Amino acid sequence: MAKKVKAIVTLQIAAGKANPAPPIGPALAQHGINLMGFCKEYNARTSNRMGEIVPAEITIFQDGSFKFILKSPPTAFLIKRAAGIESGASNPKTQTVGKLTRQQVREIAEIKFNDMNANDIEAAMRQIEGTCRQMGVEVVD
Amino acid sequence: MKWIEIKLSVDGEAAEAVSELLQRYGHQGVSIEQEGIMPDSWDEGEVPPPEKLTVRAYIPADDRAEAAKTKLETALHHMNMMYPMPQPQYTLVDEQDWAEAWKSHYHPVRLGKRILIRPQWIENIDIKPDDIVLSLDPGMAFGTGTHPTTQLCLIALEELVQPGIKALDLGCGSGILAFAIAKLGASVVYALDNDPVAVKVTLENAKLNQVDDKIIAQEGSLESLLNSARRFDLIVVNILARIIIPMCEQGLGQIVRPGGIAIFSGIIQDQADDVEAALRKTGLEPFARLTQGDWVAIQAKRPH
Repeated sequence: MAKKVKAIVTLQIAAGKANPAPPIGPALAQHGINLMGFCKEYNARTSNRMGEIVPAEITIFQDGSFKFILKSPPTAFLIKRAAGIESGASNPKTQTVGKLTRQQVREIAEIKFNDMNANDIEAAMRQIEGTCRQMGVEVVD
Repeated sequence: MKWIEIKLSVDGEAAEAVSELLQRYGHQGVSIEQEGIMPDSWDEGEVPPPEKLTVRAYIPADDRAEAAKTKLETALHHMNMMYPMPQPQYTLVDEQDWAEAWKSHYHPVRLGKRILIRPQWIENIDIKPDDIVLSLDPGMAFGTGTHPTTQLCLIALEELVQPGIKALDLGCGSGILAFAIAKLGASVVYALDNDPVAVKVTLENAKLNQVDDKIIAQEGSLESLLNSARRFDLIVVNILARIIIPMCEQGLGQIVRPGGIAIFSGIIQDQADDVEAALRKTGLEPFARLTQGDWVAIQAKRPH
């Protein structure tokens, strides 16, 4: 079938818990997506990853049909998990809320590499370190 | 109940940090939408990387909303010292029954003389005795009946399907074209798609349309057909010009019986001449075009 893309929406939501409330309802209903169809399918596909944030990248076609793929957890989620913190710093310029070793950054880069726009693992690590700085997480050797 | 939508337009690098921030305050997570997608311009897999992304989150519009907004703006102010950040935009949004709201995008559609596409949930509808009713539950397979490529095929099929024929819908998506062929009188319709989701959806929709006894839905491709002995009185191929042309080079014409008919759709006006040239090379003779907007459907026959 002819498939022309109308929109690409990524939802960063908790595995197994999709429902019609925001942000899912407003994000998808405006494009005419079968909302319960998406929620049912997402929850089924993520039921083995409960407790994680599992982004779904949804490609919406001109006639309202759609497909979605599951992505690796957001970088920020992986940084927080590795650093053992609940959230990033409210003032990352002056506040340090946690630390990651360069090895941990490399491990995150390896998980995220396929979903990132990076030529090699070193470039991916630099992007992850940038996100660490914006969250107030220090990277140490 | 009302919600406050918080929206920021950022580049890819800032999107991660902004999403993390909004995830802290937003109800159940965030949505991130690519900006700048032009309607009807890109096929799946061809969309260029986004320059900008819209990150959205929602908070209940209650007495805690102002405090959340202040915290968010403070955090954005700090982030702005390290990387330029836009101001968030706030919009008050009414609570809706979103589980039902998406359905407002779909309405019954009449095509040709007798074809009626009915969204499955619509009950009160004027159905005439000889209407060909196609019931659809839009979902994870292309072919909801709202796109010109699908509509052009249905109009052509109404004219061309003869009773008792053996037909093929190659790239069946939701199966809508296969159901139309079955309801117009074909004895058997093969519905093939290389996407297993489409095959599953077609089987479900075939039951809904009470044509499951005539539909054979399978994963498959042109190659698998060429390796089999199956030949058809009518084929419909609603894919895209850039896929139809290589299919012609593979020998697409051979699967049509001498004297049989083929309908091709998913073709933009300026691609139609190239598709017709490819069809001639595979032994098919184009005899008519149907157009709707920029889209063209080509009808061809295989000479005796």
